[in-house]
Amino acid sequence: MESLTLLFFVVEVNFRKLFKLRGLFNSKHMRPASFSVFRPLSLKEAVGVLSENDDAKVLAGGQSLIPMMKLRVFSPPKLVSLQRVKEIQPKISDEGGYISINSLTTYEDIAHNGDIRQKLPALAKAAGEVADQQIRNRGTIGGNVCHGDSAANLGVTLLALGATLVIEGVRGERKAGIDGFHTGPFSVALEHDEVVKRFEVPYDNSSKQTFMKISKTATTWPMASVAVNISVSGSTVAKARIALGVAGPTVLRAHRAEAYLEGKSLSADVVAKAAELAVDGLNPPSDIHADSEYRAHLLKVLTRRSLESLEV
Amino acid sequence: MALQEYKWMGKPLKVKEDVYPITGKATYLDDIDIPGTLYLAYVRSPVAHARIKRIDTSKALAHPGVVYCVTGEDVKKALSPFMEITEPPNGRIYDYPLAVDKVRYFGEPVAAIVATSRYAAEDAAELVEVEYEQLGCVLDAEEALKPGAPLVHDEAGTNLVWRGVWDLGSVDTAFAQADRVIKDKIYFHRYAPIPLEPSGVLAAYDESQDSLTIYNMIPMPMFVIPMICGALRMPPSKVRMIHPPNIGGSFGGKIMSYTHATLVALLAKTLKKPVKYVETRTENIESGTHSNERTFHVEVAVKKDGTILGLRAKIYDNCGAYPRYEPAGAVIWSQVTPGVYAVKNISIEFAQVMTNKGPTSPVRGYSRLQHNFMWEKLMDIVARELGLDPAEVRLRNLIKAADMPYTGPSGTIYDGGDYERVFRKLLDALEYTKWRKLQEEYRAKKRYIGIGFSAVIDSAANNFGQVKIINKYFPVSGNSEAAMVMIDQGGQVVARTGTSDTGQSHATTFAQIVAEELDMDPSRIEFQRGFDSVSGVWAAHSGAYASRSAVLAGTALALAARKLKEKVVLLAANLLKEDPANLVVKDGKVVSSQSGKQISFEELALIAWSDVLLLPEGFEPGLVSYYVYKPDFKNNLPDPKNRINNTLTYSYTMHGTVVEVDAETAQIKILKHVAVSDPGVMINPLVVEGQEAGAAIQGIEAALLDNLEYDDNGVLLASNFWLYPPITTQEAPNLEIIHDATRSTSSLTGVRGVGEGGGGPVGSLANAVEDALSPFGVKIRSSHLSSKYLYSLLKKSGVKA
Repeated sequence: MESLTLLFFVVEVNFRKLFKLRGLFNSKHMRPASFSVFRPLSLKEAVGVLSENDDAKVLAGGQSLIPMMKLRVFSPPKLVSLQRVKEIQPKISDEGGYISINSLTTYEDIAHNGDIRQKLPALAKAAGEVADQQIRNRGTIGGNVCHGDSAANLGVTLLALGATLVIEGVRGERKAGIDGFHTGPFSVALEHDEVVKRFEVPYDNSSKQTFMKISKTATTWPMASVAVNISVSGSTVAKARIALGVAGPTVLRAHRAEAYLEGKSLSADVVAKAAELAVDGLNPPSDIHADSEYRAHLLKVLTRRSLESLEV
Repeated sequence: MALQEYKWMGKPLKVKEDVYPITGKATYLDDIDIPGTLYLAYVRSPVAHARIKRIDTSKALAHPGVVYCVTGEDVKKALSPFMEITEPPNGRIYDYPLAVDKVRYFGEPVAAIVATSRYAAEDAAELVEVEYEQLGCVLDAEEALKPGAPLVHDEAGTNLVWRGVWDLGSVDTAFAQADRVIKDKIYFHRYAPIPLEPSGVLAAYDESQDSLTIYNMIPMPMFVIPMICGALRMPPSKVRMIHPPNIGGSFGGKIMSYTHATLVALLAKTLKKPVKYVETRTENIESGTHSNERTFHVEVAVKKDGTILGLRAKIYDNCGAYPRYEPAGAVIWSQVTPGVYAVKNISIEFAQVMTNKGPTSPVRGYSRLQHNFMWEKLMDIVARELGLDPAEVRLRNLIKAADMPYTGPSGTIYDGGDYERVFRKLLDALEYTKWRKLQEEYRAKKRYIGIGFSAVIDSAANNFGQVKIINKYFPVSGNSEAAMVMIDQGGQVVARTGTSDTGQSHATTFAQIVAEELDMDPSRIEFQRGFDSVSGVWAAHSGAYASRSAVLAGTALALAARKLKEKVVLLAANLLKEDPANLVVKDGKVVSSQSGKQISFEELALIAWSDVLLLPEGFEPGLVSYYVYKPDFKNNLPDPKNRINNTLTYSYTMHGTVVEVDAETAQIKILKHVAVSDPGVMINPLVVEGQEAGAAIQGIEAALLDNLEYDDNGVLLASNFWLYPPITTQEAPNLEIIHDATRSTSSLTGVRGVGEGGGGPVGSLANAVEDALSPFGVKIRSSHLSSKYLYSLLKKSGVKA
């Protein structure tokens, strides 16, 4: 249920018409417009159906898409449900150096998986803090990321973790880094006939990572979220990845803060300066829970606190 | 005084009816299906104030499945406008179920589609074209009273619904004797009651009888009959009102669904087909009723020791676009005129004003919670101004136990209790001194803890006579409730009353009341849920509102059972040939204390209902008794100074909250919350606690999460759960609830109503947050503590992040 933040970004980037922003305010609906559903059994079938139906939208766990359809904010005439696609059924495996997560894997699976909790604690935390139990039982990692919402817990965390996406299309399989995958509000770098099969999330023993968010309630999207992933060498930062949620039209990396941290030890001053740099020049969206300035402030505080919380 | 000299009442019996909703077996309105039913969807206004230039329904009518389309023009011809409480000219308000000529608030129904499915109706609603000519809107009550402000109802010529003045005690003298006069302004925000089940209605027309059956969940079904039948121009005898066995909460809001009921009934009659409408969540938030938004301009006269001598207040209440149940709220606050405090000199000028926001009507704690909040803010304002402890200021001003029952300045008769003892219990349970010490220690570490209190009175079982303050000709006063208790042909004890349960556990608690009278296990008593104006019992005031069921329906049931018992004893005495004085009713039989002879309810029932020639001379066949209870409020009708005893009982709860505020992020965390209450005699402590916990959580939700925020053009910015987040168990703090029960001196059973609880934590949270941020000089004068509001206050006070 944390996906409509985008509708507020929409104001910022002036995509009003595209996302029917006023539809959200004016919608009195609780029943979707009529639509048809395809239920392919294999990836080949899935991408085939997609390539033949330009007006079809992919459905995974349905925790964002279905509420949007019920409110008629978004009314795709056709859905391609991936629920029965055999190659992407929930699965988590340690492949040595990275953890592979199939795209139908639920938040609940991720939050409680031993390998993820040990090697990718930020991801376990982010998945465990998605909305409520019912949503965590249904919502999937693939749906979360491909929905392209900058408020999504997993999108921001996987960006900090530098995940790789394995994508299947009519023309075959390809791999893509998560950097650049989010291209705009509700928009990701997938061709219409492509489906994300799995995520490969790298880990290393020197990595310190966490995820933090501030939200009004557990089931509303965050007012601000941050994921940090720091590799340390000795007492200094070898490599830093910091990702910010609800900070702009997409999840964003705080490149200047990352560059600043490299080679430094995480003293209070360094952390404070990195937090300043993380939000410098940022123009987060406004909504009724937080205006842009307050949101930027929260992002700064969360960045600082995330870094402070790492046991380096 | 022995508090609970009861055997079956007072026991924490498990709530037997809970199993049905929990296991999905409960029947709610939307579970009722009549073959051939049509479904209604509204077209609603996307603007706050506009003239309707044109409505084109042709595309909608052409949509597959669409049967009918109705607009304001049509209903204006077919219906009379709803009755208004206010007299003209202010009462010259023409209110229909659909907007006529003008829309007056965002979300107002403009047209309705009837189709063979709800899906088709919603599809077609999108196809209706409405051309609006936008008008300037007015959203603030005080702005709305200024000359030149846009008029919400042109015919009324003013946005003022009603203005009343209360001049109680000797206010000028009090101010002349004061050491200090403190002036301030306090604001109470607008929120929605959010029942789990939104409102709905299903109406069916019987052409052969020219009669309507309306399945609804209006908590005062017979009270709104004049509204519905007046508009439909049908006699009440032609309208059957039925409640489904289960209603998923109301918190007052569903009273206003008579507008839906009227339209759906009209359409059922027009189309000669059953028609159903159930609100979506968005519709429920936008216009399923809002609580009263209120601004208080206050002046208090105080002594240096914190004693409050007098209060002067100018109060502006924003009731939105249509008064409907209002301006009742403009007098209902006077159920708690002095709060829990012994302030005798009070002058209040109260204005209720229409604006282009959604209509208000009773919401849990209706009109009193705003007033209680004002007092609780005042206590802290006075304490801070005088450099006193807010606990000390409260103790100095609380009404004394020795003065109970206490007649307040506006004629209310507070029915007992010990406010000071309850407050001291709260201080102990909260560990007040410990937290004050911790507060100091934490501040040194830049952590900000705050402690806040608030007391609320849950005035219950209302006296409608108070409406005569507004309009002395309005034909309603007092209150009444009906009950029936019988022993059926099989010897089973069956009970009914006119109030229907919206989640208050009536089947369990009312069985306990009847059990007490008949001295038998409550599990053997069948309490029949739901409401049916044809086959059930009712009085005109019947219903679950104003915290009245336990007191009024409970008393009616007790008295009906008592009457039945007399009849049972009379019959048993005759059959057993015993002196009635020797007979004891117990465990479903009548036993002679002398001879030991006995006769069971089963045996008595057979004779009483069917073997009637064996009945004694003059004994009316059957074992059934009815009672309609009408309480005496003592100060029954308002005097020229508007003094009246507005309700029968006055339970009270004192809340204490400890919070930690993150001064950097403006986030509030509740560390501890304690409530100490005096609910009177408890019929079932589990149920009482459930009500109290619910009220506390709803108050916390109102203070921290829920605010119906409009933009400058009157567009509601928070109209679904994405934007108007309901509280869940993940946010709700642990509550500690403690009882300090005393008998009500007013109710026959000693019970006090506890259905509302009055939003107690709204005040304690506002005070706790202000206390936490006192090092920064932050002043909280609003009931809603959103983090963006706190952040703006912190920024203004120069907190460096």
